Amino acid sequence: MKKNLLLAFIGFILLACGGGSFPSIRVSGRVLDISTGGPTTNASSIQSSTSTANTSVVDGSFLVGGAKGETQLLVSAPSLLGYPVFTYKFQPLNQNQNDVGDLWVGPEQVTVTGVVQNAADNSPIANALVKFGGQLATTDASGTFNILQVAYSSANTSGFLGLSGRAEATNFLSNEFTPGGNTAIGGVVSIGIVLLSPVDSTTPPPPPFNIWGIISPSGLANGTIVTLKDSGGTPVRRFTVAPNARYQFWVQAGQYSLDFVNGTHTAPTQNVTLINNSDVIRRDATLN
Amino acid sequence: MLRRLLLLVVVLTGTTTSFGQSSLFKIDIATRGVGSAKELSDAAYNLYQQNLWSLTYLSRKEREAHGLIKRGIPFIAPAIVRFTKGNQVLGTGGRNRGNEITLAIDSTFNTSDDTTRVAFMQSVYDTAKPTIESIFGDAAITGVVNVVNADATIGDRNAITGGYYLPNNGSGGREIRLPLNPSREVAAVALIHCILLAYLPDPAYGFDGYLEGLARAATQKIVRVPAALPPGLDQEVIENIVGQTYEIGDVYDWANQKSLGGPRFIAPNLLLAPIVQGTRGGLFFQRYQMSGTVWEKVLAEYPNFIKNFNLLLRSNPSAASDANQLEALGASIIGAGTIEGDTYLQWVRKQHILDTRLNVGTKLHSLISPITNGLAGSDFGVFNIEATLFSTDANGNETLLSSTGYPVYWDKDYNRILASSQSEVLSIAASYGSVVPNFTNDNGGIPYRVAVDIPVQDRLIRQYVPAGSIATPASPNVSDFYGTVVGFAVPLGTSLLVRVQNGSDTFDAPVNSYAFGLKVGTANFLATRSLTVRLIRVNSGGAETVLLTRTINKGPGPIGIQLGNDPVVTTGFPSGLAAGVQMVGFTGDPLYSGLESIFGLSPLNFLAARYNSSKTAYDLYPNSGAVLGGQGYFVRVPFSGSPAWSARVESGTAVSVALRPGWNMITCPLGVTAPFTSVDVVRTIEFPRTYLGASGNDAGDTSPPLLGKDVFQFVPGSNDPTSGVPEGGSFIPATSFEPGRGYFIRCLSPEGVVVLFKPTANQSFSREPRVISTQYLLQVMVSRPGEGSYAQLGLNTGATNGFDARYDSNLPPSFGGLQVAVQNGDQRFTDVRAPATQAVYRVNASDCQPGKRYTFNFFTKFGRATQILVKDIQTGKTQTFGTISGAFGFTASKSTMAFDVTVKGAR
Repeated sequence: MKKNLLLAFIGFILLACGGGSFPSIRVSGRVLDISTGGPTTNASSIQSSTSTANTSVVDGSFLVGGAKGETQLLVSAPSLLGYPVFTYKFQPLNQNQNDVGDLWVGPEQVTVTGVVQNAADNSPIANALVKFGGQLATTDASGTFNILQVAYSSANTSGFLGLSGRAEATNFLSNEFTPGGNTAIGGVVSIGIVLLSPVDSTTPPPPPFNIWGIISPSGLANGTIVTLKDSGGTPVRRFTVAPNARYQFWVQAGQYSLDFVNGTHTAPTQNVTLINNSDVIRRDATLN
Repeated sequence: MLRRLLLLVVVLTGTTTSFGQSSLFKIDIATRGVGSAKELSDAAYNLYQQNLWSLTYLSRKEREAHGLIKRGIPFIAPAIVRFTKGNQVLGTGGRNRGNEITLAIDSTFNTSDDTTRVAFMQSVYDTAKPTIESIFGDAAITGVVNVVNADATIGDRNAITGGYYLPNNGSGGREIRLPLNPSREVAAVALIHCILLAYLPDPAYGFDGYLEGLARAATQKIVRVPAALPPGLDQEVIENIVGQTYEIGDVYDWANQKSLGGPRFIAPNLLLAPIVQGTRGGLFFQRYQMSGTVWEKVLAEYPNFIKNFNLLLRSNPSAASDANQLEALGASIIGAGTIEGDTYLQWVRKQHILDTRLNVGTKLHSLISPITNGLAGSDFGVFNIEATLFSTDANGNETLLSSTGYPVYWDKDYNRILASSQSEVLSIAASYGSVVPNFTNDNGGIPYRVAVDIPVQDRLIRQYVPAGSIATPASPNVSDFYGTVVGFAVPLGTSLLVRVQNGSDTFDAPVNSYAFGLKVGTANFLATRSLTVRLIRVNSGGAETVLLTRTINKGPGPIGIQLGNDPVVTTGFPSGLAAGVQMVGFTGDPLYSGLESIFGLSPLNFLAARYNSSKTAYDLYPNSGAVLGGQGYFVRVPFSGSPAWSARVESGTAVSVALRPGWNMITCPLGVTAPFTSVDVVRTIEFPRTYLGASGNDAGDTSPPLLGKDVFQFVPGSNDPTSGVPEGGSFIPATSFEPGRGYFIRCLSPEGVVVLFKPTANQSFSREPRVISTQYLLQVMVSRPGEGSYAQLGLNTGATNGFDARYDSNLPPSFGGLQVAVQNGDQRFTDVRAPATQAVYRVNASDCQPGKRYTFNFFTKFGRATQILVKDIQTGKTQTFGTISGAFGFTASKSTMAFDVTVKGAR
């Protein structure tokens, strides 16, 4: 209710200051401080190609005019904070009213990098659109993305760590991702792999397991019997490896050993200790 | 053990401080003198105070703006600081030095502005002492407690104040260290709160729900007792202090959610270092408030409860950090009596603020507050809906998450209400988001119930609010008794009313469209009371039938209640739980948050997992979080059993489940079977679609599907030769949602969807879909004794040879066990292609056991073909069959057996 009134007021001011030539589109959103998660203590400034507006100090919301096809906004936090200017890029904004969501500012700018892969086969996905912290990037042929000018605060990373991004690609279901606890090293935050499931899916994702591994060489893997034994040497599970060369078990925490046999081929026994049921341990094996 | 895990050590000016609980600090002074130790304790409390102020700053501003709280009322947050030397906590000083506590108040509290402050403080204690001891009991440890003026070091009292209690100041003395607050009312409340901390035994309560809650409930009770404080204090100011910071007020029923639970109120990572003003703090403030109110409820029926509880703790010190023992002590006080109509243990289970279990994972909480100030124009039912989204790790640290949700508002018949566009999108940043919908006057000023679904990711909170029942521009007198009715039918010619018995007083509140509200306004009602509330159906002749009786304890002020047909029942899996791997769902909303309590098993004796599509992997229990209604799980138990658990099961109303993009594990949240025709699906701000339409199974719904074509259930395979129980199994498509079963359902919408399950008894919900008929469909099955699996292949005009969600369906995540699938780029359960004179389908049977004998059979479900050929890819042998069905046996030569099925002349 109050937010509506505020936006209406901002719109009125824009009209009043526009000398009678109202910009062809309007862009709304919020500017938030990565150090706190809230609006900046004083108003931030939003600059489009045609207009400038200030954010509300109550909730960080803004409404700024712009030209049809606008592709970026410059966001300046109040000068007393000493934050750098953030350039937010968008796909062309062509609607009369465009909501760009939350735009984050902060004392630092980092690059968020990662790789978008097909969940079915771990192949890279090119041209995926990846959004994070209000910024966006597109993956290259190797599935890699580099999102520039993401707001960050080394002194207080909790706001950054709570952000969620989204990756989208044609013929794939979009997926959310988080920094996963990763913080900046040398101005770069690496979030690892973001998996997208094909719409026409898919090699199903792996089932519940907490002990798994890959058998090599791949030519010998199919049909390998993997036997899981408890600490007393008693077999508790047995798995027949398929052509994907993968085995897996879902067992309670404890001490185990793994035997690998495929006809005359064997691999050395391996020991595994699961401290918690939720631990996941990988043990690959090479048949001789 | 748990508490030790929670201790988080931080470096503070050269020594270590650990937070045993949110407001219990431990400072190691092994290498420090007493003087510098106090500097450290003041610094620790000051940091705590400053952080609480920073964490509440935004929330205060927002709630002040909505008129939900008054300006200038501080949040009183006293703490306890314990000095340690090495690992040894210094015991409380002053033992056995007298018969009671004697305050030795620092003379420097007297200032030129208040020359009689010391005398005032002494009079606060002297006046309140009889009341303190009647409510809280006498001091567990007697002796002198020095009340020290620490205003120079902890006197920054912008909005947080309180001071702290030092059981041992390093030289054997006890201290209460206080700022010098200019408000005598604030100073009096803070002093009494600190005195209560000094009255506690050592060790005191080891969980915030108890330590904070009992002290807060007792403080508010004491300061509200007439004449318990010295004359001259402004009782309205005191009422504002305790009303805003010691209790949640009238919205307890709404706020009582699982996300509140945990051993401590503030995550340790939010107390580690100075926090920037305006940082969101998650749920902690509500937790403080809820903890005060929950024990207020007990005091309403058992005024001596806290006093007796404290006495029992003295003689049972090992209970301090043992939740089960604490519950047993509480139960021993109540004996055969009840609280709000429940036994003590049942009642505790329902109060999520008293759930001391550390639940990891993502949590969603909502707080709804009616807006009653400044209403104008079309305002009718205006509510401030605040959502908090965060995740908790195994150390209790919280990450404040950002996301977007799309609230769904339903009228009493579960037709979607679209409010203003700003109310349809919930943008959550740093854990917090809010919307303020106005439910308009669409029915001549008659109030009505609105069901509010708040979905974020795969979490969903359902609330019910009474639009038009609390205050409107036309009826500005704010109701002090209001609420909703859920799950009770109102046959034609009947009506509902709520009858309230408050001691000898009785009043009725008429129910309109399942909403009610009125202003009672009497002092008798607005005091702390135990109310008996009856929901009554009245027929046209005036005859009354009592549908529900609830005892509701309230603190001072108004009360909002929900009268739901949602009794807590003991429930279980309809066919028990077989040994081995199963896919299950929990009926209703279990009161226990942990599976070990539900199964009655040690965590070492079961496994559980829940698929997380955002990770494209399973969350393995306990990392899958608290058990919530509507969730499906894979579980593995070593032996069969019939676990039973207490759950709140809603009847007679529709219940929602949130889906995130990708595969979701869900269950029917109703206690009854939900056929597909009783399920609706909603995306973002769109109108609901039937499940069959949204999944591409209704020819009348031509919009792009939101869901995969099939929902899958799990069928365990044969016993594993080593473990003797099924360790795998197969997925088969489900034909309805059954209680107790888990299902895999695939969401295709990037924004996620809300799935609404409706009870079939309400015929107004029934709709007959037009099912898509496939022109030709062949079912192919591979089986052996004890296990089997099938897939479908077909042809249809309009279908393509690629994937088409209207015809084709994929398999859910593989789980091991025999599984048949049609390979067409991916593994499909159903593969329907464009019409052709001849079509070849590769059928794979995976997880076969080499050397075992299997049967391959097929039969035609729709249409007919002129010839069907099946080629065994392994042997190269082809068999030709008739037009309808056929079968043959084979011996698996490897784990995945492949067959080509050729269909000729299908039509």
